[in-house]
Amino acid sequence: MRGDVHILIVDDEAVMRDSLSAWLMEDGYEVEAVGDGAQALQRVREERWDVLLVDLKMPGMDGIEVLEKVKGYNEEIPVIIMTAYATVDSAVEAMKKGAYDYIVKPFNPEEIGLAIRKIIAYQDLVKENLYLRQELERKYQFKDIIGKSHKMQEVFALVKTVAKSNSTILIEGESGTGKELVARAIHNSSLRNEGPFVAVNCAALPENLLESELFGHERGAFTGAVSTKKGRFELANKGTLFLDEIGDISPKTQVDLLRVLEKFPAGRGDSLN
Amino acid sequence: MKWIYILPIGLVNPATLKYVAEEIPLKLNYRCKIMESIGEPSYAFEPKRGQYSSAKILREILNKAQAHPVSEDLIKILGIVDLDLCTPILTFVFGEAQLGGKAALISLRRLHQEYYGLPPNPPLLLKRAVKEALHELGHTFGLTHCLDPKCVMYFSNSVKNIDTKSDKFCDSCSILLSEKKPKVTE
Repeated sequence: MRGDVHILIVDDEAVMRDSLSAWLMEDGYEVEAVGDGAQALQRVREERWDVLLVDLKMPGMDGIEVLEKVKGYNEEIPVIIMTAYATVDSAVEAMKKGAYDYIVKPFNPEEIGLAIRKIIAYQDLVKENLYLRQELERKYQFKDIIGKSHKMQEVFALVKTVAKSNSTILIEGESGTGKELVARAIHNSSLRNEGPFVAVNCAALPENLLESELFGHERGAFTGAVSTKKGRFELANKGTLFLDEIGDISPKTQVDLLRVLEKFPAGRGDSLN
Repeated sequence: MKWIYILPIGLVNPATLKYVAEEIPLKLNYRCKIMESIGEPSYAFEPKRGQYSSAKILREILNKAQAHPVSEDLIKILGIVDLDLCTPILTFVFGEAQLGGKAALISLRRLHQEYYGLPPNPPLLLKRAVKEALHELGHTFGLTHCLDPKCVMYFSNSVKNIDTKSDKFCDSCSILLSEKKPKVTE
């Protein structure tokens, strides 16, 4: 039942290793026990462990040193420090160095079981969260785009391919074929998906306003520029800017756009005009 | 025919032994034989803890299981003590067993209401004893702790947990038990 949970016990006393192993195995865990820190570090490098139970006082490398080295190798591995000689100082040191818990031997039977179950429950939540995020991302990437045809599958594949790049991408297609949906899918599939997706319908804005919309302006740059305004390029910083109906804008603005696209990052003001 | 042997260790109430011996076959389909009692396990006493080492007693039970002529028809052996048990790593245990092995051990000490300063309740003691006996014997058949709080294989760290669970194996554990039993009996 819990056989997929791997626990590594590190204790120099054989009787402790045997006793704890037996008890955890009765609880259904997959358990391995080693007698010193060096063996523990070797096993940590060799396999994936869900929990490490490490004795504090051991000859040679003590539990704190094992904890530090394990955390140095993989910070995510939960380490529980066990000791028969609990002190406030060692407890503070262990917790500061990243121990998940610090428990005193002998334990109440429920204490160690509860600590392990909490770790496993947390790890399960992390895994579930990761899975759900991936699932959400996967669904969101192509949401609203329906298509099982071979051609649409080619579009999906192309979206995935180009999404990896930060290059300017030209999307062509008849009006109403879903160019913006494809642009959104590219954005959502890209590394910029945490950033904004800013869409501008170039055809809907007069040329003088379009320049201001795209590039913004400083206060007083022209009559009516009563305050500094961020352009869409700036608003789309670290995200994606979608320029819709680009073919409808004037040749002058197209030249300005070309200059911007060639010389990132975009600056605000009249320097581009 | 194979039997589950019950080994009283030190002073154990005969009526309790008899009740446990009669109840186990109803759940495990093996009849029980009560063995002659062996003496107090002074060898297992841990002076620092004021308790008895369950591992040391379990080894003694295993020695009994391997002794002739008992080993011939013995499927499992269950030791019963009325002393407080501990392991090096745990403050106390209600029992201990060899996972997938021959021997198991239960303690009645913490099953008595008197242990908690309450008036004696013999029927409750008997129910708890049967549940713990089935639980530890379940381990010897290879069962691990069950997540179903009603299953007898649910881990109990208090008498409250023991009282909450039933004396039955849940469906999953029953299936596992039926799969594991023949392998052990072969």
